[in-house]
Amino acid sequence: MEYPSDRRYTKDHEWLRVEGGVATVGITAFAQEQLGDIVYVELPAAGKTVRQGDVLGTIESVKAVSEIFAPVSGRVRDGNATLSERPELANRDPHGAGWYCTLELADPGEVDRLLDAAAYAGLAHAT
Amino acid sequence: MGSEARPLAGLAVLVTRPAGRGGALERILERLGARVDVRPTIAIEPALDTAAAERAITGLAGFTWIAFTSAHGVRSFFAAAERVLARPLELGIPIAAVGPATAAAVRKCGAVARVVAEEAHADGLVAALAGCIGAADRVLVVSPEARRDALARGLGATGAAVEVRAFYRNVPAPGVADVARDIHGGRFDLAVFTSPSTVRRLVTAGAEAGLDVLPALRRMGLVAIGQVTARSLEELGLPVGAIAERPSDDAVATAVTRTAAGRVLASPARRGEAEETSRVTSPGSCRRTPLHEEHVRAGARMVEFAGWHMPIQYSGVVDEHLAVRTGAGLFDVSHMGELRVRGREAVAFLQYVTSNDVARLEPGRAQYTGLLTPEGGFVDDLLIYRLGPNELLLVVNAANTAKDVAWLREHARGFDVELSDESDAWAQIAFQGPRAAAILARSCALDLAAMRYYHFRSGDVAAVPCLVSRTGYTGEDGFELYAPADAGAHLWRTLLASGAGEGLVPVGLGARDTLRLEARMALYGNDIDETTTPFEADLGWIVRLAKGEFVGRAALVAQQERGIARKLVGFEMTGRAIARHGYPLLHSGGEVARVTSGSHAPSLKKSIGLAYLPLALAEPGTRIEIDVRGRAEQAQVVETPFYRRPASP
Repeated sequence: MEYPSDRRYTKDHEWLRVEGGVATVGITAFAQEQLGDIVYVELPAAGKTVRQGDVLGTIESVKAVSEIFAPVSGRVRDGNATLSERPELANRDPHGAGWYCTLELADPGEVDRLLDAAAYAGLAHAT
Repeated sequence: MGSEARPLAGLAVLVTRPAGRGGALERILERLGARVDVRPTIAIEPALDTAAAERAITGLAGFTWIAFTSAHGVRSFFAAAERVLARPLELGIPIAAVGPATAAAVRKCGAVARVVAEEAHADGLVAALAGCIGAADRVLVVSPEARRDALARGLGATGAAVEVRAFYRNVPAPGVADVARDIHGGRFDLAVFTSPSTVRRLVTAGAEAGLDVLPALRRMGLVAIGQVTARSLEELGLPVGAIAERPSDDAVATAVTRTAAGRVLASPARRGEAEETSRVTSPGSCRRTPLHEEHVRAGARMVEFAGWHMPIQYSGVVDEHLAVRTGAGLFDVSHMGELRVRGREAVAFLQYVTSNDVARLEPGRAQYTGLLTPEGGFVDDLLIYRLGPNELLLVVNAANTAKDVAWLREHARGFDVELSDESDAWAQIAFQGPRAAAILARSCALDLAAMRYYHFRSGDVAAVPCLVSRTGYTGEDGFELYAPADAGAHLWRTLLASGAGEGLVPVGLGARDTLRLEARMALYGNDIDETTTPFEADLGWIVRLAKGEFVGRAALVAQQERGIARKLVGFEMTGRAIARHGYPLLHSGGEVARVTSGSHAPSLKKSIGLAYLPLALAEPGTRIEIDVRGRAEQAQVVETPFYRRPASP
């Protein structure tokens, strides 16, 4: 699987891409494959403040419920309403149109401590 | 989404065996992550009448056989013999042992058992000895204190002279009341029982201390070292999580792991945790079907289900589900149990232990029915095939196979029947979907078009002798094929290849579950169990009160007179949120039920589920709420089945 190098990754199989102080968050190609057919997405409320590791919401496949953790601290700007309508986007295009939400960063330093694409690819490969 | 390398992590396991039996089991369980507490409930003491026991030893020359009913008996006998004779005993007569653990104890004492019953119960040993013993024989039965047991009775029936001598007795262990208190207080998740008396002493000690430990035990995962111990649990109405395949530490540990996995399946979905991954335990701890290699080669995702390594999905649950609704799908269901019942009273016996009317079941037809407790709850739901006048095949749930065998054997006493567990001999393949009949017809000489629903025939499929049945668990037209285990892989490959051009795909347990739920077919362990009756489950049509006496009938008659208080109904979510197994149903702010099955329904593109609702709330159109991880989501009661297949053209 290809993991774009324009972003960071977490051990919980999420990715985040930062542009101008705002991070876009999603699940990785590996995560969507593990979950299987995604049929329901619960988005976080806009404006909600979270600390790194807090639960943002859930993504559910037919068989499993999976929590989405905040990869960094910040304030929720938006959930992906299109994903909520078409949860299968998280299977078809997990690194693009299937993004989950956007966060306004509280501490940009947290981003640097996340995994880069090569480190994450190693982790996903080994799992 | 990590898998659990320590399948017993965080679980407290009670081991009830007497002290001083080595710590291997404890070490294995601890390595698997369990917290282990070894708390004996029985102690072994010398027999009260030692003089009679000693006379048996000095008079051994007068016996032609010696039979042991337990490992304790073996040890007590050899110890007593050494004491009396002041030298190691050299037995000049053949030894019979009631099970593998007893035979192992004989070996440890330097002797060899000539006859060993395969399963540790007396009937088996009597059968094994029947050809070797006659009126000329004198048999010494070494048994616990003062008990003319089933073995002695059975041997007596051969005409032999039988003397029962007690060399030891079971007494309550000093701390047994404390064990009962701790169980009552919910301290343990799982318990291992190593003999019937370890169970009985515990329950009795609890009762003497004013505690009913049975409800607490029912909530735990219970592991039995063998069939006899399992039966003693079942006689108390306790569900057996698993029975060790052998009385060895490894096999007991495997049974504990299986029971723990079963508890995860049966317990309310743990919030915020991937259900699927939580079910996966270390590979190797579970059994493989004859089609295992086919699944692995096809890249299926494998999980543990009911102690079996099973494919949960191939291409994806939704794809596979829709393929069965529009084309055809092939399912490996070889984990299901197959039990053969035959004999002069086979029909009378099944008429007595099941709820439907077996007398109306003609050869060549199948029947869906229930095996019920005396209280009217489901021991299991099953299919019965009438193979011939006195021969029937029972197809039971994988997780219940051992329990059902024990239950059936228990109730078969007094009937002229023979029960054999043939589960390992069969591969079972379900072939379901609107295209199934046309594709199967190409590999099969039987006239499938003439085969009606719930009928079956024997015939070759892809040159493999099969039982072909027009039944299924998907709500579509289709078949279930029973084939010899060693031909299963060939049959699977041939069928898949023959239908590949017409949309035939392999289907895993994930889609099997969504298909059966849309068709409102009950899943044992979720929608029905020992606490639910057929009337409550809306399965009144499998209860034939008019046929005469059967196990559970009195309770069902009483329930019918009283009227049921709750009913299993379907509900549909208003939004897209998914109500999963165990989530609370709310009405007027209070909890009124729990979801028994709940899922996204791929054919309906909605979320649906089943629950036992109070009758007042069971009418279609009733609005309820489901507590989905802390959020109250709208739902309403609807007619079922949720999905009905289009009428055939």
